[in-house]
Amino acid sequence: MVVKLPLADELAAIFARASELLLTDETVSRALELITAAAEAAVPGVAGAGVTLIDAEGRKHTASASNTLVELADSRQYNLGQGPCLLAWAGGEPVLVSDVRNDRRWPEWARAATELGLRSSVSAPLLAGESALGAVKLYARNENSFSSGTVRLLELFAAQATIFLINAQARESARTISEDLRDALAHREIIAVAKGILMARHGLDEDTAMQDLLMESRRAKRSLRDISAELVSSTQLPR
Amino acid sequence: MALGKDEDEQRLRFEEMLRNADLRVEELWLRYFSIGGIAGQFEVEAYIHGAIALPALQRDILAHALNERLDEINAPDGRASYSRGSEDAGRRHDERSPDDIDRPEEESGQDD
Repeated sequence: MVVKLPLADELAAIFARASELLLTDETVSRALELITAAAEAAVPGVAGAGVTLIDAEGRKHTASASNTLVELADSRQYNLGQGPCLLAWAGGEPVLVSDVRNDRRWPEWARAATELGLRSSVSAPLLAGESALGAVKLYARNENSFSSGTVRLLELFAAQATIFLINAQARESARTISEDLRDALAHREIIAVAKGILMARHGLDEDTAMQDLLMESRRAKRSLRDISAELVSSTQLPR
Repeated sequence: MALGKDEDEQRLRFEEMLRNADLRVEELWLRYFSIGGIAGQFEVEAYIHGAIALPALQRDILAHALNERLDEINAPDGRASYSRGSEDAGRRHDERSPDDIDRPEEESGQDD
C-alpha cells in the first residue's frame, strides 16, 4: 500500500520518519490489536472481533483477530470472494448481517459461517478519503446480536484504526523514496557540483556562480542540467 | 508586504507565462527544486499569488525552471523574465562570447 505524495510532502515524511514522528509497523499492529480488543469488550455477547486489510492490488489479510474463529470466518470470505467485510470494503458502507441463514447476499459464505457456528456479524469499512483500506468486524454466535448502535460504535473503531493505518502508509511511502525524488536529487547534485567548480575556478560566491550558470544556460539555449553536466566532466584530465 | 516595482513586474510576467505552461504548482516546484531552488512549495505558491517576496536568485531559478518547461513544449509567446542584475549580466555575456558553445539543443538527448 503505497500512497503517492507530492515531493515536498515526501521529503517531510522522510524527515518525520527519521525523527521518529511516524509510527513503526509494530506500533500500528499493536494499535490494531488494541482496537480489536476494545471492540470485542465494548459489545456484549460477541464471538470475536478483527481487522481485515486490503491493499491496492486487492490482496486481503486479517491484520488482527481476537481468536482463531475470526481468522477462519475471515479466510472463508477471502477464499470465496464474498462476505460482509468484502462488501463493506467495496461499498464503503457498514454491513449488518442479522442472521446469515436468511441472508441471500452471499450464500456460500453463509454456509461456511453456519458451519463455524456463527449467525450474525457487523462490518465497518476503513475509509481513508476516497479509498477503503479494509474493514473492522464483529462476529456473534446468536442471530440478531447487533443493532444500529453497534454499527455506529464499530464505525468509530474503524475511524480510529484508519488514523493509525494512514500514519503507517506515510512511513512506508517515505521508506521507498520515489523515482521523482531520486531524479530530483541527482539533478540538483550535478548543478551543485557545477556551481562549486565555477566558484573555485573563478573565485565566486555561491549565488554569483548560480547566476552565471543560469546565464550560460540562457545564452547557449541549453538546459541548466546539460550545461552543468558538461562543466562537471570538464574537470577530468585525459588519461 | 510591498514588492519593489521590478520585482512585481517580474512576478506578473511569471504568472502570465505560467498560464501558457500547462504545469501544476507541484510540477513547477519539482523542476525548480531539481535545478537548485531552495524555497518550499508553499513559498513558491505564495510568491506566484503575490503574497510573499522571494530573493532575486530564487526568482530567477523559478523563472528558469518555467522557461525550460516552455522550451520543452515549444511555447511560442515569450518567456518569464529574470531579475534586473542578471539581465544586465546576460547582455555582457552575449557581447563577450557569441560563438563559445553553439551546439543545437537536440544533441542533449534528454527527452522525457
